[in-house]
Amino acid sequence: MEELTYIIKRILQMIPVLLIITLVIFFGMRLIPGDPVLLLVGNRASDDAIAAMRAKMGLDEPLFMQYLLFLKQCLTFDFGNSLTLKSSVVDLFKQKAVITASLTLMTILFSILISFPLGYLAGVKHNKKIGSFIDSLSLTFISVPEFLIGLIIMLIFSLKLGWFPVGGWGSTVGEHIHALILPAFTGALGTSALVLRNIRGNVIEVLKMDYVDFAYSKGISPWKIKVKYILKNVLISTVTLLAMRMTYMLAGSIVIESIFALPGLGQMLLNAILSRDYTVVQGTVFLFSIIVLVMNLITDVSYSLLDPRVKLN
Amino acid sequence: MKKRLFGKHSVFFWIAVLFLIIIFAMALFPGLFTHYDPIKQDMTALLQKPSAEHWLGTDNLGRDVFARVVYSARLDLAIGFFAMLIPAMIGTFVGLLSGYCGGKVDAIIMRILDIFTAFPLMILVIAIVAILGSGIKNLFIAIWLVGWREYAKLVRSEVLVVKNSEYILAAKTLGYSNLRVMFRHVLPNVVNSAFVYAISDIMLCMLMGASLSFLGLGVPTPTPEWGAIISEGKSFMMTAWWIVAFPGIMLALTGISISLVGEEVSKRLQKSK
Amino acid sequence: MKRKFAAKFLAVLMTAAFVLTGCGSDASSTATEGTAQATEGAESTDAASGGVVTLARNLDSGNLDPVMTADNCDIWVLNMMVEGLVTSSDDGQEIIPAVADSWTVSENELTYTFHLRDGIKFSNGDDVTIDDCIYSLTRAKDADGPWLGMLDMIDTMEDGGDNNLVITLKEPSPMFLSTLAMFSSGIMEKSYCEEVGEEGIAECPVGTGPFILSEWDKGEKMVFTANPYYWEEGCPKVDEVDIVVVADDTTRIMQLESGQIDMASDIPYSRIDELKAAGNLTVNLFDSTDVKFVIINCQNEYLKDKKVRQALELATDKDAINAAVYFGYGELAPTFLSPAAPHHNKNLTPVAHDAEAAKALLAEAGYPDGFDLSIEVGSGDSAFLQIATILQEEWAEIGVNLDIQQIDTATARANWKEGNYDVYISYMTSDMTDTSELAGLWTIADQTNCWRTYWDDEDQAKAEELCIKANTEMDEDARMADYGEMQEVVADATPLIPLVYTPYTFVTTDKVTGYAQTPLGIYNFKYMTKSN
Repeated sequence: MEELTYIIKRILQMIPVLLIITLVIFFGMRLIPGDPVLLLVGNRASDDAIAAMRAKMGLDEPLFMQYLLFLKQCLTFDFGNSLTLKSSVVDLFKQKAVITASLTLMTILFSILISFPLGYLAGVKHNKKIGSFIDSLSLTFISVPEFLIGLIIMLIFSLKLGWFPVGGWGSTVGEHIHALILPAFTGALGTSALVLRNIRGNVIEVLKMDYVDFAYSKGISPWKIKVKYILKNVLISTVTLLAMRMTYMLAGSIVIESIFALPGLGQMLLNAILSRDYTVVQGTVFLFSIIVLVMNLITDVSYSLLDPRVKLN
Repeated sequence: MKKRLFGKHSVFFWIAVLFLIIIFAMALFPGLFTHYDPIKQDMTALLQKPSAEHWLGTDNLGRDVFARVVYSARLDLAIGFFAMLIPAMIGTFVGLLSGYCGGKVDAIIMRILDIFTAFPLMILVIAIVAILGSGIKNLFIAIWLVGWREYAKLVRSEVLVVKNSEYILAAKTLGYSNLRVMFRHVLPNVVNSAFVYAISDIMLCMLMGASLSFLGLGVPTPTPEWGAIISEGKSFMMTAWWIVAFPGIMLALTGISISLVGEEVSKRLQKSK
Repeated sequence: MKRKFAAKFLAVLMTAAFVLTGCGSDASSTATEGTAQATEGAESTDAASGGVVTLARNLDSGNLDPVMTADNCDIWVLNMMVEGLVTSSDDGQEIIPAVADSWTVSENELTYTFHLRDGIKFSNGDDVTIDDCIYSLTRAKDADGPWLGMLDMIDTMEDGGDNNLVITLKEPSPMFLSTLAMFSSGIMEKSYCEEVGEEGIAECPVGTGPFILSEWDKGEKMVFTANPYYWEEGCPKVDEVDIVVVADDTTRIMQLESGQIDMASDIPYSRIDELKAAGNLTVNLFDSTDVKFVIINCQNEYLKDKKVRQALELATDKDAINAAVYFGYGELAPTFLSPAAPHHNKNLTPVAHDAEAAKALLAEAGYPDGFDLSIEVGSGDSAFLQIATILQEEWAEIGVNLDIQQIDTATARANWKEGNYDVYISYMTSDMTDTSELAGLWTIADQTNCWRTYWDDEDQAKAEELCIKANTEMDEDARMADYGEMQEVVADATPLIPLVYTPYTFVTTDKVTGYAQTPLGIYNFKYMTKSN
């Protein structure tokens, strides 16, 4: 019950937030110099042609009217057609979001698989060589840019060993999954390094706490202690970190998409901004912000589920 | 006092300290390390392998890679610390306030944070470049605008756990002011995650320029900076590996050293409490 | 007055040919080695054709309406689907038959009679009619797009019976056939165009070309399947050409090395030597009309002085740029017309680097201590950024301090429109087998070139006069002489610093042969074969 009221309250709070986001994105895009019409008609166009194109795209209307139209689009989830690509914004979004979302999920999965065991190990053995080694390794992964890691991994596993395709997205589900493994792994190295270091830090903290010693002395089995005390204590900040990384990646990792030739949201959004494709940027960012808001809500609710000490309010 | 400070540390710790001293020396007196000018081009010596003359080879414009790596130290340390420090402080404070106060304050701060999270980084970057132009100053602005979010979220999530623990409740019942409880009792217990993140963040900031330079926001050429050298050398990765390899190694070693030293320092600080 | 009128007329007559959007981002690489155009002749009787050929390039097409696009990404693939009455040969030197199999020109050079190829069909199986041709050419002539005015020399078009199209010109034009060979004059089906409208054409134009665009995932992949009704016996030889987008150069090359794709365009020059040595790849450096240059804003308070502009050119070491950025594959440029363009002036030599002379000239102009300028470079273009870095050091020697600004195309265009820039690094390719397009762009004041950079003095008037004269002259020798002199005037006035001519880099596996890329950049895949 408490959760339900909290969730309803949060959903209501989303309304003003989304309104502000529409304002910022709409007027922000128009503050950026450059004119989509000039890009579309080419360099040689007459003033008449420019005016005609402007009218055709509805950009000759007063700004406020255009904004109202955008608001209406947000309510109906129909953002019209891309100014440059002639396709519907929603279709484009769906097509690209599948790729980016799959990549994100796989990346998060890999990150968890890598960071939890290694982070725990590095924390428990933080005074031993193995602990320092894992720690240094993770720092090395953070300090090497993704494009370097991606290209090196692809060079080895795709070109030399031939285990994976050299980028691309494929056409069947099997091919999609196959194609995502290397890019997801590349993204996971950076993310898991962050998460791993966080887990390690927290494990060291928790191990210093009196209640862990107390539990040991009480004869509770070490496994239980690990799960009950340590895991619980690192989970909240880890979930926060993972959720932050997830929103970051959902916006589309341009670098990974570019290196692995994945036609995802990042590439589309980048091209849309560069060509001042207002409808695509507005629609995509609006849809994206809804996802972010929902994810933030889920993260907050998960706190109280993960740790009863946290109260929703 | 001094004795304890130089006490039982591992050999790694001392190597890290030494490395950082060298980096600082490079930042302060780069001229001591090399007689080459890091931005002087030499069209007669393009893409040369590491040799006795050019220790780490030359790049695609004939510049000495070692000189560029050395002269990068100053700017990189500045970016690493200032780009990390200010968002870390702002974010930690915001997260602390939000988590501790709860209620309306929390709701408002978190909704502002939602708005900031809703805009993909690259939109922000392109807007900043288009409106303010490229350059180091604007690189900082971009990083500051987005950098605080992680700290705020992390710290807030920890505060939510800690603020209901017995000793905080006890401190409150003792009648300590909220401010005192927040900073003296809550903060020390939540700052660990932020601290751990900050170490990684230093390197993420240094690399930011490398990944943003293709959008026009990075350290302006030809100023040497590790991230920028790596991104400029990307096209030559397959033919002249030394251009990207050495700044990459410097970044990693700096990160590891800062982490090792930072951890010892924080251990010491906590013990002295 | 007269000049003005003529200029206006010509302004409409011609159009510029270059493209800074889209495909430009990797314009970085280039050089000229005078390689053969097609890897193999059309007469290849290889029966083992068929199969799917995949080409990877760095950007996708956007708008495929021939009359509305000015983007190389679109232009270079349009000929796969839509052909004109005539077309240009693979070496870009001649006009050869396409939809029309022959034509005659009247004595007074005003009436052209084109005979449509017997039984020629659109790729949907419908017959091509004279009506379709008139419709397409009228559309090309009148559409308010980037090519408006190109066909204004046409007076009337009518059905001459017996599958003949009779076109009458207002006055003789040396560039008429070249204009008809342009992608923008492509023949499309009237009923289809009217049914799908402008939006539909932009998505999928239907013409008589060797291929049909059968699938297009934006930003990802274009699938071209063979046109079963293609007029040329046995062509195209392959069943399908897939054009995929792979933005990263290194990945594109790795895909080629692994055999995942068959061809890759826009390969960086830094990799050419290595790929040549690899053994199993064919490295093509196709002759091109591509020229890299520094545009100078002649309205700038320092740059309006010709001596200053000449000093900057003297301070520019083109050889160093060619070596460091283009790995010696470029050819130093004395003029804005490349040797692959019809009227390139062979007598001009590139300005040699001479910092002392540059310094002296700058002092003469009243700036012994130099001044500050900003140089704009498209963001993400690493080759142009390198050029800017080189220029920064070289120009600093004569006291000109450059502030390098990386900006995106949209911002750059807005800046040009306002004349709000100092110098800018760019490139240009020609879109027709005639000189009028590029010549007019640089010399005719009324013509709106996108940089709005006119040097407004006697030189300008002289170059413009020569250009206008050459544009309408029917005698080839006289044209060559006038265009030649025009290039000398422009080279002296220096409204731009031509840097290098660069070839198109196009690398394929050894399995594919018979393809070509013309100096205009257009792909010809109809004779291409793939072995197993």
